[in-house]
Order: sequence, then structure tokens, then C-alpha cells
Amino acid sequence: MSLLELKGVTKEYSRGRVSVKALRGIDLSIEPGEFLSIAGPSGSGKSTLLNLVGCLDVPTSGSIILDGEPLEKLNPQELALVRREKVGFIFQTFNLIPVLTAFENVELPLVLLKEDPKTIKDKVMKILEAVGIADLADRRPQDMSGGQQQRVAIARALVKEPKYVLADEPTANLDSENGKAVLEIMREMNERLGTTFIFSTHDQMVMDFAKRLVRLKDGQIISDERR
Amino acid sequence: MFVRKIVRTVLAALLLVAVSLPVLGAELSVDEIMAKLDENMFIEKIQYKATMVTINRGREITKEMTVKAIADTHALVEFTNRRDRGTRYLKIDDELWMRFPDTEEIVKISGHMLRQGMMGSDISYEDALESSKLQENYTAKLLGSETVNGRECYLVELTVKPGKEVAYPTRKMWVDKEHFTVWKEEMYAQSGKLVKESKTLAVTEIDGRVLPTEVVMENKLRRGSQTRMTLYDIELGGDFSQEDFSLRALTRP
Amino acid sequence: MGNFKYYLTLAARNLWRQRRRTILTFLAVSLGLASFLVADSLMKGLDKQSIDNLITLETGELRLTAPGYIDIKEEDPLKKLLPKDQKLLALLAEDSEIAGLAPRLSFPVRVGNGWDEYPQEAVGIDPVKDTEVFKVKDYLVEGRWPEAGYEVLISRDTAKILELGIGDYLLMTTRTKSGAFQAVDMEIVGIVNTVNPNTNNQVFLPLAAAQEIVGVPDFLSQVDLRLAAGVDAREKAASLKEKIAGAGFQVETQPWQEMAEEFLQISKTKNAFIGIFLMMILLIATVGIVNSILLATIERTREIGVLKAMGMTEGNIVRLFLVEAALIGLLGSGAGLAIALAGEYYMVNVGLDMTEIIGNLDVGYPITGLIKGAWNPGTMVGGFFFCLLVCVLAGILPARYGAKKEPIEALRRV
Ligand SMILES: Nc1ncnc2c1ncn2[C@@H]1O[C@H](COP(=O)(O)OP(=O)(O)OP(=O)(O)O)[C@@H](O)[C@H]1O
Ligand SMILES: [Mg+2]
Repeated sequence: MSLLELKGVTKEYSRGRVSVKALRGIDLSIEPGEFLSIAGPSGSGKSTLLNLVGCLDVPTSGSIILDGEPLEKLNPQELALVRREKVGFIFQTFNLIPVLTAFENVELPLVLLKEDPKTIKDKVMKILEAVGIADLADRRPQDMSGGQQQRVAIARALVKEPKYVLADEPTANLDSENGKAVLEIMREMNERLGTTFIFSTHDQMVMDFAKRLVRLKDGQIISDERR
Repeated sequence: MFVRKIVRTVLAALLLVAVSLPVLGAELSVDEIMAKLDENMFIEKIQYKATMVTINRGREITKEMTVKAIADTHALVEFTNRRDRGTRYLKIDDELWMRFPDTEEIVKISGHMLRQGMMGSDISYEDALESSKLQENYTAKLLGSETVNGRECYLVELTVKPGKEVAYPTRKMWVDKEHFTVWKEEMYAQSGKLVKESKTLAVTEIDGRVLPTEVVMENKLRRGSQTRMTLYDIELGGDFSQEDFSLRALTRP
Repeated sequence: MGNFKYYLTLAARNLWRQRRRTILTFLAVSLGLASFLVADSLMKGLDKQSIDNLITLETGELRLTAPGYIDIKEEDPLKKLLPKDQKLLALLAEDSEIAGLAPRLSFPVRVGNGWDEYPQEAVGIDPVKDTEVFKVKDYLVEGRWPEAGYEVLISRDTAKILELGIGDYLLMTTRTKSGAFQAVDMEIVGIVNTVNPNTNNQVFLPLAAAQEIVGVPDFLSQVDLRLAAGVDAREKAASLKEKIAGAGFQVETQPWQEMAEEFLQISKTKNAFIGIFLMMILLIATVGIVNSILLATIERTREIGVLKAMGMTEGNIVRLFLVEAALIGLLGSGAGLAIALAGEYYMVNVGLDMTEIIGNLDVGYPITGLIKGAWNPGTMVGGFFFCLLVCVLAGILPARYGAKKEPIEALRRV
């Protein structure tokens, strides 16, 4: 069974009288363990697609089936619980909680899942080591570089071992060296833990990392290649 | 006595005066003096105008009024000076009503209100209402003779009879031996302290009666406090009867 | 539990991040609660003192009068008097629940100096027994207590207005029982200045003189009682009346609560005033909290988006902000309580000199001079939790507003 199945998904934003068709009929299925990049020019609908897949938004029409269960039947509360259990997010601008330390930021998803403190501590330290910033556990975001912050974000997305991780242009705010390092961590996690990664980009270097590359243009898939 | 009556007139107003019979020569008993006095006081009908000046610690307040009265049972007083115009008092027997011009409200004056000075004067409502039958409440005693204002007078002392309730347990009166008008009166408290003193300053003769026309009442407990009444346009008799003294008369415009 | 600790950390750090705003809200809450508590303490103290003054200077704890006296007192207090019966007084003296009894005869008088006169109440007192019940004597500022004959004790205010002093004579006029004019010269032997403004309108003279002046030898208008400690005035009023009736006397008994009715009425009005005070504080706290939380949700819109993406539900977000509101509330109420404790300690032990603030105003309170506070532990506990509750409740609306934000909208905002 596919992890995710998108059937004829469209998304229309209406701003007053003008309506923008951000996605115009997407059919896509994603298998567990994939390392998939969504590429396309600005405005092509990458973020929109990720938001829908991440249960942050609902499609205008069409259906998204996660683990065999159609998402359109769920209310906001249930969608939140799906996100809590199955989805990890990595954002372009890192989006760490500024008042919390690296450790506490990473801890958050586990706290929401009500894991016991001991397990939390072990899991958090382990993942921080895995992304190579265990020594920064007590730092606040403001005292870290962009690359370090994005590692914390990756750790936060991965700590609960989600079904899949969504990353919207994860490297866009990093220099190429840091961007590359982040991508390497992501791929390593994909290989080691089998976590599915779906990330968007319009950077060729990032696309080269992907094992499957889906290209979007004007809200439609124009190519889908596996390598 | 005379003063007391005037006072009564002012307010609840009655009038005094009756045919005064000149009694010359022979000394009278105290009961005879009192009887003559009552007789002289009794006037069937009277109307007059009066000016009442109250002086208290150098402040002078003048009020004008017109009075109509039948014997000592009915009286209607109406104030005519600017400030009090329309204020009226009605006395029928021993009851008293007052009408306020602003609100056209009628208030019966009773109980403790009777002890207050009427219209800010030294004459209390009680003074004005008191029954004229002195002999009913007091025992009279002749103390002798004295001259007041150049007139030969009997000096009579009145003492309250046991069981009778009066404002002044003791009083002294100076009664003209010829006309039986009161030239001077002193009123005493229970303790024997002089409370009020009234003096007749002027009299006039009308229809053979000698009537006081100017009386001053002094509050002896408050220095510099006195009330002076002056009567004028006095007319004995008149075109009115008891029916004209009613609560309706009080409100009549 | 781990969960709650996490929320608490997050809330506390966020409050600290916006410490300027937090301190403002905190101050509003704490000062609001503190001033309410101190005001309440003062009011309670005022009540307590006023009642004390009323009892020890004016009414006693329980009053015995002739049946019907209360109704005619204003009109003609001499109409219904109590016989000064030795058997009755002995009966009262033997009662172990009665600690003191003061026979009194009071009636309206006008007191003057020959020029001016003012209405006052003359109170005939038993020079010895009166002090068993009343403390008027403690407030003597000059001269001595009247003992016998036509001696009189007047208030300092009266002495000042009439320009009279010790050794001068006070002209007192009244009516005897039979309505006759009465005027007597009373020698001023003492001047008092009590803390009860009503006493300023009384003159005190020996009972025998009072009885002679109004012509009622062997009669009293009342016997005022002081009760033994712990005896309830209302209950005693009922039981005493029966007991006296059993001995063949008809009396009316009146506990101080009934005599103080007018005052207690004022006290109620004042409680309404305290209510308004409370509402104002409530409003300040509410505005403070709403403002704090609302601004926080606006500033942290993006954070809300992230938390929602992490899987926080609307309920979780509301909870997060309510913990913040509760924290401010807890700190504010706690500090308010602490300030109130300090303030009340001062009010209870030192007090507030009203004469310095408003002068000797007659504001319907049987009190002048120094006002002391009273401890109000009940109000403190109640106020603390009430304040806390208000803070949390005030947080609900803005917190829900924040939690409603759509995650993508929240995330899009940079
Ligand atoms: N909330 C919204 N309301 C209205 N229009 C929107 C909204 N979000 C996106 N769009 C529009 O939908 C289209 C797709 O936007 P989207 O953000 O998915 O593109 P993108 O491929 O992520 O672009 P970029 O590379 O710039 O991030 C664009 O035309 C955008 O203007
Ligand atoms: Mg985008």
C-alpha cells in the first residue's frame, strides 16, 4: 500500500474576486521510504502541495489518502492528531521556538505524544548526536548559526520517528556548504531509519540529491522521474 | 394678657376688645379684675392690618399682614409682604393650619411644631393659640399696684393650677385700672426664670374701647431678640361670618 | 505532568521575553488586589471601631426602655418613661450576664450662652454607674465629670461654638413633662471630646438634676447595659425581656444592632462602594490580561503555526496561553497579597489619621480621628483566588482567538 495517494487534487485560493488555481489536478502516489523532491519555478504550487500532504490544509477537490485513509473526512482536531503522530516538518526559515533550547525544541513532539521523561531524554540526545549538535543541546536558537538551527529542526522533525517528513525548501536559507550538510543528514536518516522525505526546491544541487524528482509547473506535474 | 391676645390674633389671630366700662375709684378683687380684663378683650368681630418686626442680633425682619377674627375662636391671617405673600394661617378653636403659597400645600401645625416661633418671631404658635380663659388654668393673686407708662395698674400674679398643662407656670400682668388693658406681662419658666416679657407701647381708642396698637415681645433668654407688632386700620365688626373661616378660605386665590 | 511542566516552562519564558508588558500587567493585578484588600481592611476596621464607639459612647450593648418609648422618642421622649425601681435595678445587677448598667434620662434641650442657642440632647447620668457601661469619661479633655446638682459636661465643639469654658454657665431650655417652659443655668464642670460625633450633640448632667428639671423624679428613659464577654445582645434582649416580665415589669429591650440600624445601613452602602471598587479592579486586571494575551498571540502568530504543525490542537494552544494568564494572575495575586499584608499590618498597628486627611467631618460615621484597619483573612483568601480566576477567565477569549489561526496562514506570515 502506498504511504500517500493523491487523486485529482486541486487547490484554488480565492482572494476577493480573483481566484488562483495553485494546483490543477495532481495524481501522485508516494511509497514508504522514498526520498522525493518536488521541483518547479516559483509559484508553481510546491508549497501548496506540501501543505496539503502535511495535513495543514485541505484540497479544493480530489482526495488525499494517507495509509489507506482519506484525509478529507477528518476535522481540524483530527488532522492535528495525524500531524502529531505521522508528520515531521522542516521549514525554510527553521521556525524554532525562540524561548526554548535546542533540547527543548526537539523534545516538543515527544511531549505532545506524552512519552515519559526518560524516553524523551534518551531519544532527544540520540537524535541530537545523529545530526551532530549534541553539544549545543542547551543553546537557544538565537545563539546558533542557520545550519545549526536547521539541524535542530531536522532533529525535531525526526525525533518522533514520523511516517514522513515534509521539508519546504530546507536549504534555501543556508549557504551551499551548510545546505549540503543538511541534505546529507536527511538522506542518511532516510537510509538508516527508512523515513520518507518529501522536500521542495528549485535548486539544482538539491534536486540532484533526490531519488525521485517530481517537476511541477502551473500547478500540474510535468515530469516524474526515479533514479 | 393683652399682648397674649394680640399675639394670638397675629397668628391664629383673634381679636380683643369689648366694651370697656370705665370703673373708677373702688378697688376690685382679683377675680373682678380678671373678669373685667376678659370682658375688655372680648370683641365680636375685628379686622386690621399689622406690621411685625423681629429683631435678632441686630438683624431686622419686617412682615406685613392682614387679620380677620371672630371672638377668640376664628381667625385668618394673610401675610402681604413680598417674601411671604400668600402665606396664610387659619385658626379654628384650638386648631391651626398653615398654607404655603409656593406649593399651595396645607399643613396642620400640631405637636412639637407649636412650640416654634411663628415666622421666625419670638411669638410661638402656642402663644398665639392659647385659650383666653386664664382663670381656667391659673390661680390669680393680686400683688399690689404699680405705675407703668404713667398709668396706674394692678399687678396680678398667675400661678398654674395643679394638673393643668401650660407653657408658663407663672406669669405676671400689669392691668390698667381704668381701661383694663394689659400694659406689661412677664412669663416665667418652671424654674422661676423669666422667659418672655411683653410691653404695650401705644394704645388707641376705638368705639369707646382702649386697644393696644403697639406691643413689643422680648425673649429674655436670648439677648437682643424681640418682636414688635404694630396694628393699624383697625375696624370693629365687618362683613364676614364663621363660614368664611374654612380650609377652602385658606387656598382661595 | 511532564506535559504541564513543558507548558509552564514555555509560558514562563514567553512572559519573561515580554517582561515589560508582563510587569505592567502584573502591577495592575497586584496593586489592584492589594488596594482592594487594604480598602476592605480599612472599611472593616472602620465598622468595628464605629460599632465599638457607638456601643461605648452612645447606645450600650442593650437598652431597656418603657414599652412604646422607641416610637415616641423623637416626638416626646418624656411621654413613656421607665420607673426607677430598685427591685428592677437589683434584678439587673444580680444577672451574671450583665457586666454594667447605666440608668439614664434623656430629653431634647436647647443650650445657649444668652445670645445663640443650639438643639442638643440632655443626658441625665448616674455619675458612678454610667462609667460601668460608657466610656465618655475617658474622653474628658478639661475639668471633671459632673457629680451632683446643676453641673453639666459639654462637648468641646459645643464649648467652642458657644464660647464657653469651665466655670461658665450654660443656659439650658427645655419643656417639662407637663409641657411647661423650663430654663436653667447649668455650671459647666467638664468638657469632653469623644471620637463619636454624635456625642458632640449631647450634654451630660447628674440624673437627679435631669429628673428635677423636667419634673419626673424617680423616672428614667432607659437603662443601658454592658453585657459580660461572649453574651449575644440579640439573644439576651429576648431572654431578659421575659425574665423582667416574670418579675412583674413591662419593658422593651433593644440590642445595639437595632439601635445602630441607621449606621449599619450606611455600612451597607459602603459595602456597595467596595463592590464597585472590586469591579474596577476586576476591569483593570481583565484589560491587562486581555491586552497581554492578545498581543502575545499576535506577535507569536508564526509560533502558533509551528506548534500547530507539530500537532498541537486548538485546545493545546488555548491551554498554553491560559497558563500564561494564570502565571501572571498567580504572581500578581501573590504579590498583591504580600503588599496587602504589609499594608494591613500598618493599618492595624498604626492606622490612618483621618483628621489630617479630611478634618473632623461628620460623614455619618460614629468616628473621628484615627482609623485603624482590621485583618480580613477571609477576604484575602477569597480575593486571591477570585483575582486568579478573573485572570484565567480573562485569558480565555484572546487565547481562543489566537488558537483559531489557520496553521498555513500562521506560517506564511514572516
Ligand atoms: N494563501 C494563498 N492565497 C492566495 N493565493 C495563494 C496562497 N498561497 C499560494 N497562493 C498562490 O498559489 C500559487 C502557488 O503558490 P505556492 O506557494 O504553492 O508556490 P511555490 O511553488 O511554493 O512558490 P515559491 O517557489 O515561490 O515558494 C501562487 O500563484 C501563489 O500566489
Ligand atoms: Mg513555496
